[in-house]
Amino acid sequence: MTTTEPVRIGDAVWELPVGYRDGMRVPGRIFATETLFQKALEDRALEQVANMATLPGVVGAACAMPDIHWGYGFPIGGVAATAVDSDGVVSPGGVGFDIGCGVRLLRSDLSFEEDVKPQLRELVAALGRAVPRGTGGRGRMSLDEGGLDQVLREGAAYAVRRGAGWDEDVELAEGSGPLSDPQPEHLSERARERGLGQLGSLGAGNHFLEIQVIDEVRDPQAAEVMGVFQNQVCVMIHSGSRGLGHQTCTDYLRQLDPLMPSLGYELPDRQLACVPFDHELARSYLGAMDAAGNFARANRQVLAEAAREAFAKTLSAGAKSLGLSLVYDISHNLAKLEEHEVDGKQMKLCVHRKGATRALGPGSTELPAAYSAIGQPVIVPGSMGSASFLLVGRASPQSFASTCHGAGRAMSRTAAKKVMPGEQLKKELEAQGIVLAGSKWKLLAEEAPYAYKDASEVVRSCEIAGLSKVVARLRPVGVVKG
Amino acid sequence: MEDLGLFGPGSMAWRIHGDPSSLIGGLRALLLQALNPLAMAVMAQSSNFAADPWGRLQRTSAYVMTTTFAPSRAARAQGARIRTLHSRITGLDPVSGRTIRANDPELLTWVHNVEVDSFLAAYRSYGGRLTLAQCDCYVAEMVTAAELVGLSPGDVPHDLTALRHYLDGATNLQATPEARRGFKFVLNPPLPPLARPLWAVPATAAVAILPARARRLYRIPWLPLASSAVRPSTFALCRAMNVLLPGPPILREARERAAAAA
Repeated sequence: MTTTEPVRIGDAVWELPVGYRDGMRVPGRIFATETLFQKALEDRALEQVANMATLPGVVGAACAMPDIHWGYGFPIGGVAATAVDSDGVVSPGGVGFDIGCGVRLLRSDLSFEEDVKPQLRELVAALGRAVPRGTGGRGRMSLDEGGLDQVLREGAAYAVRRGAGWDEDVELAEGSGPLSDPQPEHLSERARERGLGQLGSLGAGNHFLEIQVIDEVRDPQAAEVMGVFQNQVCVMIHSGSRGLGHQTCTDYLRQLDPLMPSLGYELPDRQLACVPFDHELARSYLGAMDAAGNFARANRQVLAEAAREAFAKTLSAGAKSLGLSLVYDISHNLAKLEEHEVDGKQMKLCVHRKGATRALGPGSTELPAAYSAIGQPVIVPGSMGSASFLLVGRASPQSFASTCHGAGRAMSRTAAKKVMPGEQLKKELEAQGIVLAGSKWKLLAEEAPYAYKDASEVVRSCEIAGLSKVVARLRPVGVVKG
Repeated sequence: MEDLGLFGPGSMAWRIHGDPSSLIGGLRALLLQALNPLAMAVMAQSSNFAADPWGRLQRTSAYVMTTTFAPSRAARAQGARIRTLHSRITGLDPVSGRTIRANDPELLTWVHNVEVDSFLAAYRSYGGRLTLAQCDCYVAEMVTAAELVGLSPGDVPHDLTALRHYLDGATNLQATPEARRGFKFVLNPPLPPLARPLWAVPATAAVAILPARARRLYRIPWLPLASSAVRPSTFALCRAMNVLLPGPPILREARERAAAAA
């Protein structure tokens, strides 16, 4: 008997069979524990998983991470792999608007109670001053047209060359260098204009810079390799490509829309607009996307340097002597050309990850030598006062070597009921020992930790499903919010 | 496969726009939209807001119902009509004397965001409880509505946080004489005397969920307690309407199609 209902096929793996909706070419595959799966059912994001499965040339399965929720065309938390050498397509909606958005983690030689707690308030205030934030915020590093071109081609290396960071920052980050095929010439004037003033700014929304403390180490060996230890102070930065990436996504969607009827695809949702790889627009989008991804990395590089300076100034010591070195930097909104085995066949695929993180396993040649033994570090940001996680990848063939990217909103009704005025929230967070940099408190009302899913259930799902493994948990003590 | 429209059953759009509280949301949106002097200028000089705010409210409401519940083709046709309409409408900025186009993206973004925020506010106060995940989902669904009026998806918020940031950043609000006239009219519509007390409920309910600064601009005397007092009776009225009234035809038809397809 065939079924069109979701089926549980593993401890934390569910399948949406082909036939769940018309036009599916492959099944949908959702990684989630029972609890999170039930919540995903309440949301309609599963429909979007089924929609991803209708993309031309999609292979294997349309995957969804446990933190899945409704997004533009593709769900946030979705992974779709399409065949590059046959009938596959690339879709800007599969990457999202904040191209290259991701997370960066700095470690330190500081332990919280002794070294930082006494000066926490000053430190958070210094970070608040050093980090431009909000929608219109001007970035810390000014650029001319030539400089912007270099950022788009070289990513973080450009910022380091201008003095914002250390050489090792580039080597240790994802890919150990810029994204492979940036083509700045495929960015619009408007996108460039928006990028010129925004390098080194946090942005708004759920972006943040936090001082965090490692409050639990679950994999001591991997932790040691990454230089993290119990009670250590770390800095986490969650930001993206700002207006430049946003504009780029918009530009390509606008170009694709009138083209869609001529391509003859039958798609259940216009927002899945896509283009085959042999089309000129596919190549220019991918080139523009890599350029925007490089901008995002450079942006986090400049922000990290701002954090180092704030620490150095407040604690009256050099950033090097404080050990503020990079653990890793990883994106969760990108499409990448990768080799994967599908049904016993090695294939060149374009893996769209939107709100999902690459999670290579130990031994991968794409990792920096330092991490080759443990697998790809994956940084999962919590939200506004909730815990963040440091994981390592497991290269699961079921998910095209991907794992989760965050917590997502809580689904419980009690959480929504508990919404409190921003001032009160600030007091409550401060009562828990979390210091917040001056921000718009009234906007925080719906940003309380209980408004978000517990990231621990999300990372647990990924661990059970074999996508990644938890190394450490980090709790925030100082928050600078976008 | 049955065409259940751009959103479909189970969507937040169906839930929120199909609830009687959406009338209050529409009213609140209109009152708030009018506080942007440029939006007001366009409305005043074209859609006759000051003389016929009632008509504008009805047209907006019909538009929202069609784009939400009609089959996709009809919804898109409605979108195309509104885009054509907007492309012909201009207003005059009373301050700079500059011509403002109704399809100016900044203006459309203001109108869109206020509408999304207002339907959400009305539903959460008088319709039912939503989780924050559901609020995010509604804001994300409404990106489709923004595209229908010709906005590009990058122009509008995709979640509640971004919507809050946008609205908080709207600093140019003022109650122009036209806005005040429209406001009076909305509160005292040309209804037969016997029907007026009935109108007082949604009108007061809309005022109760306006942002405090909007009430200040309109110089409405208000006590914070008043908002809490309005809530239970309006909530009860909306529930009763949901049970007793069949809803507009377009909503009934959409629900019948959905039931047949299920």
